[in-house]
Amino acid sequence: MLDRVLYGSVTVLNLLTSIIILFVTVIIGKAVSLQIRHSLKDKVSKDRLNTISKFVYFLFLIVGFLIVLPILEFRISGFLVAGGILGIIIGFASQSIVTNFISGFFLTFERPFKVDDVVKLGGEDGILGVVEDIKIISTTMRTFEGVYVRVPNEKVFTGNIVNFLENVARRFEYDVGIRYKDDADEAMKIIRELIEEQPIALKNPEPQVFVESLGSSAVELKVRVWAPSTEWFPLRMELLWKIKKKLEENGIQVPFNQQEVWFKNALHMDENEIS
Amino acid sequence: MTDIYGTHVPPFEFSEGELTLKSTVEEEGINYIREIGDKTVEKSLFSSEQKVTIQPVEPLNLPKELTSSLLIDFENPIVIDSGMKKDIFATFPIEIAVFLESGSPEKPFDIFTLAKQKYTLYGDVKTGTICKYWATQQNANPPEELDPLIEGIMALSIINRTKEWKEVTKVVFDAYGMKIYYDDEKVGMKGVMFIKEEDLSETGFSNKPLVENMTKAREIYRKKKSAIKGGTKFVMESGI
Repeated sequence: MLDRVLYGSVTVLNLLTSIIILFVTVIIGKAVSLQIRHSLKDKVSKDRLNTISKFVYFLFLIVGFLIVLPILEFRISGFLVAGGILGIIIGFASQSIVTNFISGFFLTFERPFKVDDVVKLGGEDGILGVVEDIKIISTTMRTFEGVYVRVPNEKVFTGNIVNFLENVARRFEYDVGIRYKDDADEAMKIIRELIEEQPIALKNPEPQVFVESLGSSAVELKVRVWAPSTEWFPLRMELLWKIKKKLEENGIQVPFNQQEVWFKNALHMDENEIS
Repeated sequence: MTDIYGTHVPPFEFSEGELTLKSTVEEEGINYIREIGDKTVEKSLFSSEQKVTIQPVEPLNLPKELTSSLLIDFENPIVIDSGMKKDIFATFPIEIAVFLESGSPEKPFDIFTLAKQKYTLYGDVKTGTICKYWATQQNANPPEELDPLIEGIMALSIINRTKEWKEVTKVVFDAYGMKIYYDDEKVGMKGVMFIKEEDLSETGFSNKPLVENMTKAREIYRKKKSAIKGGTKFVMESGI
């Protein structure tokens, strides 16, 4: 039974041996990759650890295939010789896969972002979300609407990448308009005190509050606040309304747009015409 | 002076300033109420053990656990000559944790603070560290009349190992390594700062109490601390 020839001189035994070898290399590969994860988990970041363990696992798989191919009488040299036309066909067919693979390889080394970073990929109308995994061929993300997105690594690598968590802190700003008759110094003092009361608004770099411009309807104040990169958005959502309420409590109001209209001829209106 | 710190058997009620802590015994457990101003937190606890411990802990939990670093900013700079050691006293913020004496005694079921909360950035935006921020005056003697529910006393030894005088305006600690001691009157700890080179200093904590007979507070970051290789020293590389 085991001596039965399947093709050429390859027997059932050869086939079984090959399957066992592949199985063993998969098991060893998984075990080594798990061991690496375990031993490096306190020393290497999670996403880098993922890449290393995947690399080691695939290395074992490749070694397994290299052992098995001669047993099954697949000669790599034969492939190379006969691979002319076939190689070109496969080359064209796998062009995008290879491009994505190489892009993934460079992304791993360049590391413009890591797992759990908030990034925008691909320019102004790009995809904004949290990086879930950086794989060899593609990068997967979760948008803030909870949608799963898979982006080929070539697009990631060649497009713009904005990483919102690369730096530990970031700044956001507001424009706040007040009436001309309000005291801008008082308004700025109130806003500074309010920012000081917010734990998340960083003490350093110092927040900035200043008169940005004298607008047509309002004195425009610029408010700039620094916050930890992971926390800036909730603070940004919360603070503007607090500023508005606090200013109003102190008699300072955000004005409506105003326009003065001058008539060439004076308007004469009989009081009786006004109903 | 405060009666709040220590282990208590419900029912109890403590009221100091705007803080009220109450616990009543119910049929199968205990009821816990904490009031600060007009904010109230109420929890029902079911446990075979009915003892509650209230004590100061590392000021890293509120409003959110964002960092392990504590930056203490001196209102007036300290100038220290080459090769000199100077002991000063400053203050640090306190958070108060409430533990149930059973199951996992290192995990508090309530944490609150009466101290002002603020964060800051030490270093630059790219490589810096987000720190809990606390401004303090420095004194030659331990500050008196501190509220032990708000702030503690830090005895800080500053050692200048360089060949020139140095001006110290702030000190940053890895607060996972804090060793807090307390009694009815005060909360305290000991810290040390070695100024080694230009723009490079190392800070850490001593495991000794400020004075004799103080009780050691539980360290709620013990597990995280043990996972950190190289201890809990902080190396200040972005100025002192």
